Amino acid sequence: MKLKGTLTEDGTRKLWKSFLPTVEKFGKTCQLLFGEDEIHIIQTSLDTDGVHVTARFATSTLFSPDTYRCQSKHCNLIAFQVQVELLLRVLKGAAATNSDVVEVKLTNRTVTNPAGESTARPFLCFTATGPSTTVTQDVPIGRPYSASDVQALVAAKDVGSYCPAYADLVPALAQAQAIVDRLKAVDDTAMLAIGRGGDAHLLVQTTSLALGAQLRDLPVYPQSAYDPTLIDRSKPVGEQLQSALETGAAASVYVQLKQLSRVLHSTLLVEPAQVLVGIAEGGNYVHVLHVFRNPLNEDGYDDTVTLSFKLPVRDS
Amino acid sequence: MSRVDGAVSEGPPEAGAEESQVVSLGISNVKSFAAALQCLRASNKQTCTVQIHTEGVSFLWEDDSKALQSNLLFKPELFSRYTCASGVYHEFGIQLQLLLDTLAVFASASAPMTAHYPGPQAELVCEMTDITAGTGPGQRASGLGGAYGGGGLGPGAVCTWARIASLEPRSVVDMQDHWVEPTSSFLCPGFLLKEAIDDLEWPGGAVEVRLQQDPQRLVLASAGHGVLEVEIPSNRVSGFHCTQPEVRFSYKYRHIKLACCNLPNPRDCAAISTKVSIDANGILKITHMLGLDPQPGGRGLAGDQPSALFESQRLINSNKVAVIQFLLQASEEEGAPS
Repeated sequence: MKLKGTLTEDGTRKLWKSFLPTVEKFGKTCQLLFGEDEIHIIQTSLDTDGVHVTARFATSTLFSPDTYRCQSKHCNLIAFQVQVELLLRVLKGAAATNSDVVEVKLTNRTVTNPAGESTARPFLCFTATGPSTTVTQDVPIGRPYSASDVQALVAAKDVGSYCPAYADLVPALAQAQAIVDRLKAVDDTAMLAIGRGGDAHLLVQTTSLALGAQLRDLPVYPQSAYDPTLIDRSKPVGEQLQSALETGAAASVYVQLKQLSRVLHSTLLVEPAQVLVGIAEGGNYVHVLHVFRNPLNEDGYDDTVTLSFKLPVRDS
Repeated sequence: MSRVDGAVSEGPPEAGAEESQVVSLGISNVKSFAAALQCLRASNKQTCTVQIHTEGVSFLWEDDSKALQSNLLFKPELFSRYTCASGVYHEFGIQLQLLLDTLAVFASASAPMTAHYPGPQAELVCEMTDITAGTGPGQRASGLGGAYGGGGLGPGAVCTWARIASLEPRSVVDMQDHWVEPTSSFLCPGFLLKEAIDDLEWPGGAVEVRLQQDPQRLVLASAGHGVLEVEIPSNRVSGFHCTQPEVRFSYKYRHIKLACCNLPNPRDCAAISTKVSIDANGILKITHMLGLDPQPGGRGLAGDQPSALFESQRLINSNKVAVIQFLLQASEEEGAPS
């Protein structure tokens, strides 16, 4: 088993400024999955209160290509669990000392436990070389996963199939955040509806209060799902939602506002170009996909990085 | 209260014959209204009686002890639109916390809001369309195969709507009907009273309000597991009028705290002035004037800046003033004047 590489400056910054702080909001630990082409930061219900988080990077966005090596007996995949806080501290430290080069290496080291016995423990060793200092830090990690655990993690990193329709929340993102935060005071669960006409609805309903918001005319993906004829604006907003649900033009689920709020607030850290929200066929989960802009090309998307969330749904 | 089959439409209901009972209100500064209503809040499960008529919208509330009641009046001038046919009168109960939660959602946008009553199920219906939302940075991303809907509002416009169930109104006997002259009174900055009452929390006893004629003194005191007296400096008090050599009554701490300490953040709603009156039997009336249209970036009126005077004058001149009133009964045990 061999894992080493030199982080690029941009890769280091992406990790400590955006992605690790995001992941930290969902849970104290995360699982890292290294492969030959892609690196994933994954959180499953082992790490969070139910939300699945997957950040995917092409290896070249994090590591200088000629330095990166990842070899193992299992399809050259290596996975382990690690404390987010420790990773974050090391990378922030490297940035604070203006390090030009941060080398990462998987090592085994013999440590003495309090009982006086010596055992070999795995570490991720970071060497940050700056203009005046070189700092080496070992981050203790969980035991590398067995072949079957790696396989389970590979399966968990994907949403499975994509949802039939996604709406891009970005045009109304600030409002959506504010509304979700305020709705939290009213109830902990809300109905989320995504319509193929481009409307997203949030609704909290109790015996004495119905409080809803409609985010209108959002871009719909895939384009084949888009059907603007499904909306009749002459009706009151609440009825538009009702009829969209009855005709099947919109799908709805109940989500925890706390979790939705956390997902929406992650956009402040990672600044995606699109925030695609979809409801799975059958309504088993909500899929939120952050898509990023390609820094080199104004109109293009960066397909080397994605961040996706899978939110559990409630019965009502 | 007549039920109306008026559609919950996006615009105001047309004033048709059968809908002449519907009252429609436009509110352009939701934050200020919410802040003013927040002053009434005493508990989570509090039901206020709402009265709507041509003279304005008032909220009444009475504590279960009957020793404390409050009312808040929004005059028609405070609304950007006030459609209420003459002779129309609605009275209904509403859970204040639900209304506050709803207004908090609406206040997160800066668009004007419309409220009308009654809706199809005799509920209070609120609506807002925020078109400013559609100008977000996401529009730049439109060139990538995303499909936009039509409609004149542009992508990302947000329509917020709410229906709040109305309840049976509770009848409130106005304590002012039992007001007995002569009245002692004074004016004083609301935030000064708030500070004094906040300080009087620790002795844990009732709060005694003491007015003294000669020399003119105003003392608030509390005695519990300690004794604390706060004297309000006479240069901060105006219009001081004391009908006897000494007027002295005690009030439950919880009541007087509610009446004085719920003042809103001056950013949203400025407390212009506070008048305190006491009748012959010790009924205490605390009246706050709230400026509903504070100048953006204003420091509020609590300070001593000369600008505060101009600001309050501006608000009074522009008629953007809501009046909130608390009436408290003196607590029996030590309420008798000495």
